[in-house]
Amino acid sequence: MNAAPASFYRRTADALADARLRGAVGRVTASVRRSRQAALDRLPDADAWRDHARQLRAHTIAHLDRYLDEFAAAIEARGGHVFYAPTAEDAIAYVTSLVRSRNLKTAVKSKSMISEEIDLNARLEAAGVRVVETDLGEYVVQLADDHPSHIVMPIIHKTRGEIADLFRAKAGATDADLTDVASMTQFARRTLRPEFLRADLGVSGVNFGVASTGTLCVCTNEGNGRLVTTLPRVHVAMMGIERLVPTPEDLTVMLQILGRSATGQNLTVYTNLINGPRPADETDGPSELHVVLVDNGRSRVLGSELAEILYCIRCGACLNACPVYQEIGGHAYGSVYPGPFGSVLTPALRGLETFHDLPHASSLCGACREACPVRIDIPRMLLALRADDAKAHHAPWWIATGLRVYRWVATSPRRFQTAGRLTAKLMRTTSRDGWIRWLPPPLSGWTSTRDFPVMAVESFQERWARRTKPPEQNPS
Amino acid sequence: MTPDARAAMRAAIAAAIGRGSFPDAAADHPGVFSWPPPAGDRAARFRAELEALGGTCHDMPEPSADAVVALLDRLMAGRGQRRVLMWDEALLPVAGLPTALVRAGISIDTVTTGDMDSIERRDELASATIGLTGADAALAETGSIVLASGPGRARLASLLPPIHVALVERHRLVDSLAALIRQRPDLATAGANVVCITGPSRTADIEHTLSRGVHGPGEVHVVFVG
Amino acid sequence: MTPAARSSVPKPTRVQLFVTCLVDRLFPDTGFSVATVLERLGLEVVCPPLQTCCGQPAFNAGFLDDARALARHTIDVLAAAPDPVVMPSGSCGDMVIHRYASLLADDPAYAERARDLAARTYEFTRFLVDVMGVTDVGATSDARLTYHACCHGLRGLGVDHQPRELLAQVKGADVVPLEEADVCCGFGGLFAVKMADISSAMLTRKLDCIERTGADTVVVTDVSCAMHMNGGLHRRGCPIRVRHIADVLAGSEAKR
Repeated sequence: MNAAPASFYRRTADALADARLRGAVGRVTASVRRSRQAALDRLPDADAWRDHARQLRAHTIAHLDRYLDEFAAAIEARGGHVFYAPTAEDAIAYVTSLVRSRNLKTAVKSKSMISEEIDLNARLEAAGVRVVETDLGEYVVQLADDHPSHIVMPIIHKTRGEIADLFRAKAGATDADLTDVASMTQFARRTLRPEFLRADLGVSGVNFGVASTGTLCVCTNEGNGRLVTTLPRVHVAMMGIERLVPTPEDLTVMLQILGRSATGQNLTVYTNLINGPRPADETDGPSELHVVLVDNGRSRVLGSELAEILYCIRCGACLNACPVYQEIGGHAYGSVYPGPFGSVLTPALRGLETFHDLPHASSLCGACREACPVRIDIPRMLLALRADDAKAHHAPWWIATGLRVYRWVATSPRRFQTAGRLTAKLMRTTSRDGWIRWLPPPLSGWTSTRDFPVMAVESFQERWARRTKPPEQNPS
Repeated sequence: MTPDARAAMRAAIAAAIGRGSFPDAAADHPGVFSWPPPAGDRAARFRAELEALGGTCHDMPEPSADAVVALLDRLMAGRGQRRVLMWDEALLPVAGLPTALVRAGISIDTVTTGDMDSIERRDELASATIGLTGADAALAETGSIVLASGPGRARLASLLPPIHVALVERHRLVDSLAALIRQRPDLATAGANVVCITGPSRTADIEHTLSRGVHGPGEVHVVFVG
Repeated sequence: MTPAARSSVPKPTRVQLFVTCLVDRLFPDTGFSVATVLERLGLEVVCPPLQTCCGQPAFNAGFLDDARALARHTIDVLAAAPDPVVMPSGSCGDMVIHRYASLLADDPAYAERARDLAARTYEFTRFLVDVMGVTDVGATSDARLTYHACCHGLRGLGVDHQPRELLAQVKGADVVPLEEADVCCGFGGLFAVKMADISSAMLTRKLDCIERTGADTVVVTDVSCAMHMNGGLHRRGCPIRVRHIADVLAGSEAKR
């Protein structure tokens, strides 16, 4: 995973100042939201599919030990290798030792968030392997030495012009290759095709592993996922330990909602099921299959009140739905996993010390929970993380102190009314026409763009008491 | 990894499950999901779905090798080498294709044992203009076709060429992927690779603009025979 | 309770009004509007004295002990009588209905009382439409209205069709659609101060949508969101105002 972020606020400010970025992210997420809704509307009983999918994920995660056993045994029965990697380093050590022992020189990769998480590319390069990203978006990210800013649409933040410049500067494209998106796509096809044909290692992610059969499901639209898992002689599949479903039939339930939620497609173009290395009687496909099951903090999350985040199927719908993501894009989050689910998963996996701002980067509007195909209660877990954060004393002094004072005031109706009256009078000294235009730090954040209404000297309750007081007790 | 290390990680996961909270998790598997049967005509639905994705659906009620070759001939006009990468003829639902192809001056390639070990052969395989395959199933709900790998059923035929033509017997058309796997649970593991192909290869990575044929075939033709 | 049993239960004749801290001190008129509408339906409105704040600011900031203290206080205030509790806020309503039980789950003295309170607490428009079965409360208005769906009411309590149905019955009012009506205005409590830049960007997007409607009044079910959007509109010098739905529903020929 990338280095720890310097400052969430700094990155947010940069993102907000970038009108082009916000325009691009806003346009694309809006378009995908519409496609998603249309795709779910096309599916009769979409809500029931989602409910069932949630139950499947919940049951699987709550019995992950059993399903991992089944999954590993089924892969091994077909001649695949399974490695349990407790940490990122263990996973990297396994893959680098594999490339040495098999003398692998060139790797083609299809999109895999887990390999981004453990920074596999850099470590493979360090081990002398040339790594080529083959998903068009990831290829651009690699050429630009950038990071994906969305888990499904990695270069949502880049314009066609920037990509054209990059293809010209880094990949030798000519003007004829760059006339439109179609010609740029064909340029990528021509450039990457020889890489597929010559690579000796294919690295893929895994969308779902099927426990009962040991099947790996890899979904791509471009076809690179198939090429990566068919042409090179060794296929390494990287997956988080939580990516399982019990049976092939359960897999079809998840597939009914994955493509629809992610991109608004009924199914991704290539829903690829891999059942082990090439058998003796088949003529293509890799001769070796290695499945690396990466824990890297997941079992810790599994043993917490945040375990529900492991139900996530990485469709990205919560990113597209989130009004915060729409304003700041993915890079501001400083993690491979941006957006609402990332604001839970990142601190859960990597700790609140570095990522304590993320759970606060939400208005708790709940759009993520509504969009999530498996109905993960992201706001609940953001709140749980905020509570952990408060316990760890990461909150700014003025919030901690302010809330302590507020509690003291608001647990006593008398203090509550007195404090309200005094504040109202104080506000009146600086207000004009019932509005306050300036507040001192730390409240200046509000008045930087908004006015604040003055409080009433007489509260509702005071007026109500006057109204309802029986006349005989009211001498006036 | 030593068995001990695996057991240790396995134990850590089991212990964590004892501590965690899992909203809506049932002790038992939630069972199978029942969905309403889709309304309308499967063939019409398949065609509509595939065409919406930019694929093409053909009907060949009286299939013949010559009719298939005539289609291939038309598709590859002006598209590079007159070369077809295909499954074994015995696995295709139309007989006599090799003879008819040769008669039309179209060369035939198949993936054979050892091909993967040779760079030259890989490049040759990639030079075909059309990949010609059968299919195990067609899915009305999504306009998809399902292909299991196996002897004589090369994966590369549906993957490397810019045009993919699949010959599918009409009776293989079912409602959906979920229905298919429910009817034939063994199909998911029928080959080392089982792929469900839903239209032509596509990407929308650049400015969310749709573009076809990025790594897989940019043209997909499903020919219903019989 | 079965649905059949529920429908046979007589409608309440008395309700407890929990005005919320923001209405109490910032928008007291809205509290009277709520009472006016409820009384127009023949309900006796009791406003339990000693009420303060539901504790949501502390809860959302992660200060659970402080939130618990305020939750216990609120339960004490509202558990004195068995009548339904009406709140002119989906946000505070969501706090009481969905958060109190888990917040106080380990408190033997309060866990059961928290559940009991949650079961008889209603957001104002939900109470009118779903409990009282009323959509026409005799309101009139000559305003051009549009509706913004406040997040916690919408996604926490399913408040959406109720306010829309109520507005549709306001005589003389013209109700126009609001683009992105279900997108957050960026308030989020302390979020608006702590993450002021993001919050402001969200508000800008919301206000741009509002300005495109041609409405003169935006109707909401939470005064917190109204305060936020009004603060932005006032800063912009835009004359459009955001009002709590009770203030619109309380408007009637008789009063004018």
